[in-house]
Amino acid sequence: MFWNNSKNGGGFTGKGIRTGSEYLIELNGITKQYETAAGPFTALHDIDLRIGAGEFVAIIGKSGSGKSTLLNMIAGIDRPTGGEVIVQGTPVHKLSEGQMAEWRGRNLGIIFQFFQLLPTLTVAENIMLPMEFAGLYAPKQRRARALELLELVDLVDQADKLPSALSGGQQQRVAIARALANDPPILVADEPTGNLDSKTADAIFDLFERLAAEGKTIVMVTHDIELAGRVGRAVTVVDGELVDEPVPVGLDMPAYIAPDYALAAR
Amino acid sequence: MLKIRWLKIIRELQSNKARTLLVVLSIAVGVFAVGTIVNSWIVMLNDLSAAYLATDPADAIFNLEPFGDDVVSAVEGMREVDSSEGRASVVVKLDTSDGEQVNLNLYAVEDFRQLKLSRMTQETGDWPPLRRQIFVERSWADSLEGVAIGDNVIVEAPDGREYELVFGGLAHDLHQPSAFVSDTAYGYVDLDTLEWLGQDRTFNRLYITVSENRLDKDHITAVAQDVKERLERDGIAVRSVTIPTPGEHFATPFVKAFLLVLGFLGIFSMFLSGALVLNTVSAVVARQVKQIGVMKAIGGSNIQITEIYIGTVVVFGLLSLSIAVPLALLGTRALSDFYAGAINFDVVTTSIPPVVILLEVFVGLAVPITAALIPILAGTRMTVREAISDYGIGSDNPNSLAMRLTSGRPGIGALALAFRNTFRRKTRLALTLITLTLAGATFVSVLSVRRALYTSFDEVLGYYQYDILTDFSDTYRFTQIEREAQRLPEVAAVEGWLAVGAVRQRPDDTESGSYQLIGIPPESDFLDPILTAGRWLSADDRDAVVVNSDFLNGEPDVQVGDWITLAVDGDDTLWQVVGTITTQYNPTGAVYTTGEALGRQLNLVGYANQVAIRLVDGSPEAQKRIAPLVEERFKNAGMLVGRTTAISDFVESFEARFNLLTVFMLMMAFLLAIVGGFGLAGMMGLNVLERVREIGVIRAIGASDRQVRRIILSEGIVVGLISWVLAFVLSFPLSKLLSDGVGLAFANEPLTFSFSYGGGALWLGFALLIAIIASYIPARGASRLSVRETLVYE
Ligand SMILES: Nc1ncnc2c1ncn2[C@@H]1O[C@H](COP(=O)(O)OP(=O)(O)OP(=O)(O)O)[C@@H](O)[C@H]1O
Ligand SMILES: [Mg+2]
Repeated sequence: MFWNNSKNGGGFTGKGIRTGSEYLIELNGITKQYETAAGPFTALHDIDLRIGAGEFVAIIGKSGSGKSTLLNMIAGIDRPTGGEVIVQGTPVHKLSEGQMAEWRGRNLGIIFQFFQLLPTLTVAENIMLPMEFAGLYAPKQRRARALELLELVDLVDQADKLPSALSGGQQQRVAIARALANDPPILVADEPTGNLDSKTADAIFDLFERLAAEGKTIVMVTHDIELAGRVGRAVTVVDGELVDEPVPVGLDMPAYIAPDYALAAR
Repeated sequence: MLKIRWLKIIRELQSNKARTLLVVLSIAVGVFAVGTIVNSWIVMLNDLSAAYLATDPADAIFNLEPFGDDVVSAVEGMREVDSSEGRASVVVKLDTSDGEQVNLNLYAVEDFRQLKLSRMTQETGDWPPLRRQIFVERSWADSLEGVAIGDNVIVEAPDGREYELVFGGLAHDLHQPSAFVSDTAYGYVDLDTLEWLGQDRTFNRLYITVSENRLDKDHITAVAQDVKERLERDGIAVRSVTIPTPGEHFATPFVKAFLLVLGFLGIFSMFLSGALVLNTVSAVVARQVKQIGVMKAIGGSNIQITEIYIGTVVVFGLLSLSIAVPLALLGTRALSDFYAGAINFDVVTTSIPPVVILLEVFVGLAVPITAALIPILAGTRMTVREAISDYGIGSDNPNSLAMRLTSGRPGIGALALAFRNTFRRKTRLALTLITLTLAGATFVSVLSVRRALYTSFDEVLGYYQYDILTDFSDTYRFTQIEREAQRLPEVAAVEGWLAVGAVRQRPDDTESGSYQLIGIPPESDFLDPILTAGRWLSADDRDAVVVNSDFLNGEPDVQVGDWITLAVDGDDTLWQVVGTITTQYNPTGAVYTTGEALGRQLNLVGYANQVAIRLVDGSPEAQKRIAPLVEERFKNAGMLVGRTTAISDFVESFEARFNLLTVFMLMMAFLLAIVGGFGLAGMMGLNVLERVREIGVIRAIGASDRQVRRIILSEGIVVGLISWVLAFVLSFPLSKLLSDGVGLAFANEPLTFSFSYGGGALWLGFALLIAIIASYIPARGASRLSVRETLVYE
């Protein structure tokens, strides 16, 4: 697969700074408190979570339960109040904002609910920007790569349009292409289909499934129980805690207590 | 291939043309103001000084009894004297092309081409003047409008006879006050022509330069003293000695006063522009915090992201510089040409001095970059979540005071929203208030200084309780003068004064420059001086004098009660200072005593050489009409009239000087008002931009366009009013400071302070107008957006 032949390589074959754990993503005792006008509010309580390479994990739960907060910890989008986040052997919680951004550029692709494409750049340019930031690929090859990625999401004909000229589903596909720009081993998505109609959501989800099948590790927050049922493993957040109760993921066992099983099941 | 990052910069600038324009203009205004001011400052001082020094100015000028070439050579032979030169100076009258007569100080030498010192240069025509030709100082060109080179002009000699001279052209003489400030014109003829005009072929002015220490006024004074003694030994009476400030054109203090105001405004403009730029640029970047977050999310490093925004600001700066630098050059030209014209020198520097370029770059690039760094660094330090979160509609909370003032009151609705909105962005509000307040306070201060100038001016006018003053070239019995003057029915009252040149013999054996010693009737109500110490003259004074502050500037050691020695016509006279009075803005100091006391000293009791006349109708028109009649009267009686001055003429030349200062101040005040307007417009525009979504929500829940506009307009007006109150308060100390400074630079004495309440009221009007215009534009824009547009607005 063309996104696997980057210098970056995929998952485990990467940097060699592994801590001996076979998990790609490891959260240990993560706590997150928000300072609010009414005093500190604990959004995550002492969370442990391990995700193996190549897993497709859905994070589910009620609105306000802490799904986004949890995802943000993994992606380095926000910092935990306590605990550690180790991704591919890198202690993400210890990185400065600047180091975090550079680390993310190479190792992790992010897809937001509201797409967050840069409004003044064309679709192709939006996809080329992460390559430029990371200094990956020869400048002359970047556009070719952007077009290949657009082909993957079926949007080559929109390459030179501004994001505002695209529909929501199209924008989200561009955002996925952008997340893949540097061929990161991990994709993180916060309700990528939350803002789309069910047909479009389906198509986007198909895309994620294909990427998972190609070996990407995917962590996705979703509200859509039906979609959640299609992933390898679902993790439920209730009031900032991971719960033990079985969840409708199409597996017999709660996935969060059987990551090895989930891996093996693939 | 162009980097995507640079593409992003260019697209940002293009897609937000109005905002780009606003930021570019904000920066440009500062660059323009600072560039123009500093450049004019340098150009004016340099060019005036260079032009002046190029004429080889004399170090000392003696006013002597008639003398010849032998005296010139004898003085030049003195060891301390480098060169010396004789000139004849006589006051005649010139018929102007509009049918009036002006006093014309005629200078004559053998051959102007041989002139070594204090040279004048040819402006038009064939320099030098030949027999029966006259050249006139160029600033008087207007008085000879329509007179071509080769045409005849009529000159009235001191004996009253008229002569026709051929107009040879214009000369440029940097050593004379220009037509702008002087009521005496200057002309140039050769000695043959002077003889033909019925004058002796002798000199009465001696110009010298000293051999060493040419910039040391004390040394020059000492040499002048030696020369004077030498001349007196040779039997030549010295009437007065003038020692100009070495190396400095006489208008330099005036230029400096003007530059002081300029510099003050320059520093203010820099602060203003800084605050404005800080506001706009940081808001522009702050609005991009979400994009900064997204770029960080996709791997942009701090340096890369900082580069993008610094790049944007550099483009803003370069655009501003490309507009403002040429404009500042034009501004400099306009400003310095105007003032150079008034002082009568030419601005020859056309290039921009490197320091000016440096300053312009500093204001145009360094300030905005610094301003941008603050939000950029804040943005890069934030976590991505913080940067891109949309928690509710706006994340800042309104100021609690604003909240408390407006919450829970029924019926306040939209206004409460406006009020809270205003206080939401505290830093931005503060910067906008600073901009508007500084602009307003400066505006009011400038108007206050202008008012103080005119108040001081009125005081000076109050000093002159007469309408016409005639100088005689000889002394006459006062009874004769009075009889002649009273023959005119327009004359109400007459006083005879005795005025002579006097040189103070200082305790340290040096001599002062020349002052006027004037004997007047002690009970005179023709003068209404303002005492600053001691008392005015009284009838039984024998050797009492009152000195004005112009005298005290030259003789700072003199105090009430002191005895001073004044040399009059070579004889020392002793006087006691009994009082001091305020300035009359005269170039020479004046010492007043009773006519009787002076008459006794000079053996001229009952005589006068000046007559002050009060008219029945003292209007300027009457003064102008009657002055020539008065002169005519005296001439017909066979008296030698030196010159006749209508006080209104003096007033006009005085006013012209003040206008010169205040015209510029007003220009700057308006520029500041515009800068302030930019500031507010910028803030309002940004506030609205940031809240487009909120506006959409308000409209979605049923607010009409008018209501939306009213909310935004009220916000602007709230800010305008607050800034006005602050400006008003700040303008008191500022006005005082500025008017003291201008007075000190202008006349060595603070101006009589007078606060311009009118200016305060005017600024209130301006502040409101600015507020309405500045918020109307974004308000209109906001009310035009559809709800859908506002909700998806990014
Ligand atoms: N910046 C913040 N400040 C204060 N509280 C916050 C902040 N962000 C989230 N919270 C709180 O933390 C809790 C978890 O929020 P989070 O956004 O993770 O929920 P979520 O599960 O993603 O919900 P949704 O499905 O609605 O997106 C919520 O109760 C929320 O109110
Ligand atoms: Mg969420």
